[in-house]
Amino acid sequence: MSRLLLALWLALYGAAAAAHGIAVIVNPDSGIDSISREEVSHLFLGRIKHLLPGTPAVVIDTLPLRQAFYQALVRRGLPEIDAYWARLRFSGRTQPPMQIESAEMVIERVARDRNAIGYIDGALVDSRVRPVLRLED
Amino acid sequence: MRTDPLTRPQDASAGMAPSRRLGASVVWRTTLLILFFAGLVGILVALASTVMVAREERQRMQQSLVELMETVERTASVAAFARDEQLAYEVARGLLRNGTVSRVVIREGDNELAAVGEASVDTRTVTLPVLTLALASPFDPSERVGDLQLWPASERIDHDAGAYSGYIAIILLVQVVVVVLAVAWVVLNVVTRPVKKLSDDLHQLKVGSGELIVLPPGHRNDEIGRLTEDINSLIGRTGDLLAAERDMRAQREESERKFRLLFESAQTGIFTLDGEGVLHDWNPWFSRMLGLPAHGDAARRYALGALLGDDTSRLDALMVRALSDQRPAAADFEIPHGTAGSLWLHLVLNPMPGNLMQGIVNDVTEQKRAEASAIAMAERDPLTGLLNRRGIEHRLGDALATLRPDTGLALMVVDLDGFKQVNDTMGHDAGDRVLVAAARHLEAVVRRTDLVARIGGDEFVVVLCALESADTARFIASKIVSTLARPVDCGDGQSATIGASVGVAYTATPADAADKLMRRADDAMYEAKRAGKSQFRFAAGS
Repeated sequence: MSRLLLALWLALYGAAAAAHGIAVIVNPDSGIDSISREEVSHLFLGRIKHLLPGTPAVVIDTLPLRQAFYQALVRRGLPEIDAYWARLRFSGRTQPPMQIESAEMVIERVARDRNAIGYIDGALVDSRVRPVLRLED
Repeated sequence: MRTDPLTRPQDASAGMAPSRRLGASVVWRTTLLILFFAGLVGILVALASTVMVAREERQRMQQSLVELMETVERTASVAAFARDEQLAYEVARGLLRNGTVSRVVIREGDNELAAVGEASVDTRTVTLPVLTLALASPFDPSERVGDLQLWPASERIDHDAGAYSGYIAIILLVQVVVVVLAVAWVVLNVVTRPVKKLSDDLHQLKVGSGELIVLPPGHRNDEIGRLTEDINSLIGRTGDLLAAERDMRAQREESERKFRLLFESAQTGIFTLDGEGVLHDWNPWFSRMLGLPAHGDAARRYALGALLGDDTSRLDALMVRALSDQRPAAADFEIPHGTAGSLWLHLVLNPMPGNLMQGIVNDVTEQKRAEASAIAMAERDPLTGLLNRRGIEHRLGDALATLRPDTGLALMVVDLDGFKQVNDTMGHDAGDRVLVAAARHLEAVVRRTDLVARIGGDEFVVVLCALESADTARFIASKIVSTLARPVDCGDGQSATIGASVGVAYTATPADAADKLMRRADDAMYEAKRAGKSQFRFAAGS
């Protein structure tokens, strides 16, 4: 029952998020004002491993938005994204993004780390993070 | 003469070198030819297939390399996209485990993510081109993120392809060998062996012995069977011909023998003669008759004319007649023979082609004698053996015609006196004896060359030839008168005394006619009768 409700909620929430678009957010102290959609896709798919020179980027997936985000970003469904990571995972070199349950926790994580980058529902952006790219459906 | 089987040339292969015999044998030649050509074809096919198979195999291996690269393309793309050397290295290592790959490089842009293996630098083999596969982004097929490069292991590929093609070639060769042997075996057993057997049988066959060729088994209804039958029928016909020829020869020999027998034993001379009168051939009878050797010999030439003692060229005339008229010509020849006088031969010449003549000689001596004696009989008086009237007339003409100059001829007519009485009183036998005795007396008085004849019952004629004068005639006439005046023995111890009146006519003129002379002598005889018998009178003008 609860599963069903959760799925329903996720769908509704996803749809609501889609209405405002998905905002890619970084730490305001990162010094990054804007970022290209390609750079975002390279960061989230492990091609670019640094947001700032010297330290590895911390890339965060927001679980409920994952499907919508990747669909918007590279027009791919989650199975393909997961298969991609499955290929890379055994080498241990390239790490997939860490996955966080809620937007609030993502915001906290990004606000705490200069090297972090994540994405949330465009409607939930606040002053703790800086949106650098808005993805529309 | 024996009829030999047809002579054949000596067997050409006998005692020859084996190589020649191989060439001479249809079996070996066909087998070797089949083996040679099929082997040639097999080798060519194997070579061509080797080359082709090697090329195909090389292409196939290259294709499989391309497929291999496509198999790992996705992972390689991911590795290039994520710039993950570890993953790239794993992919490259995986590729390198294939023996036909010598080196693998995965690039992200210009950056080598992974490079494993060594590019082979073997100059002996054809170096295969390096295969390059563009790696696209897993998320954007149009974006090229790197390359996957692969160096084929040329020598290994060549080696494998060579091995494979060699294996194929060996299989092909084995197949060709098997097929060739099968074909050779079939040809050998189905065609050449039977043909060779036919040839050998025919070669050893004694024609005319009635032997035939054996039909090779299993070939009853094919060409070899037909050939056998045809050969056998030919042999049969040849045999028949030979037999017929033998029969004909035997017949001919038989008839030759008959003719020879005829020729040898004929009681007739048979000979051939050329235009010059030289004898060519003759039979035993002829040689016996004319004293020739039994057979002619080239060194001696016998001229028929000389053998016949023909000095008047009558034979030449006969030959000319036979050859010019081309008709048989015949004549009689008398040749001296031994002591018994002469031999009469009747000669017939038949013209033959080539200016030759065939001659037949018959001994006609007997006929001639018979003829002569018949003539003699006709001209003689059977009782006394003296000439009769016809005989004396015949000879008197000759004697007158051949009267030589300075000689004369006397004709006497002798008439017995008192013979009629002897005949009437003592009988005919006594009369006959008196006549015979008178005849003997007359013959005794004259010479052998003179003629004595009885021309009537008791009337005789004596002709004296070649007289030098009439005196001789006178002397002989008186001798006749005196001789016939003596008594004559009449048998049975009786004797008769008769006499003779003689009339003589003498002439030295050949032209005198016999009958006139006779009449004069006759007249003179009557004169002597009238004068008292037992005396002679000369005719007037003698």
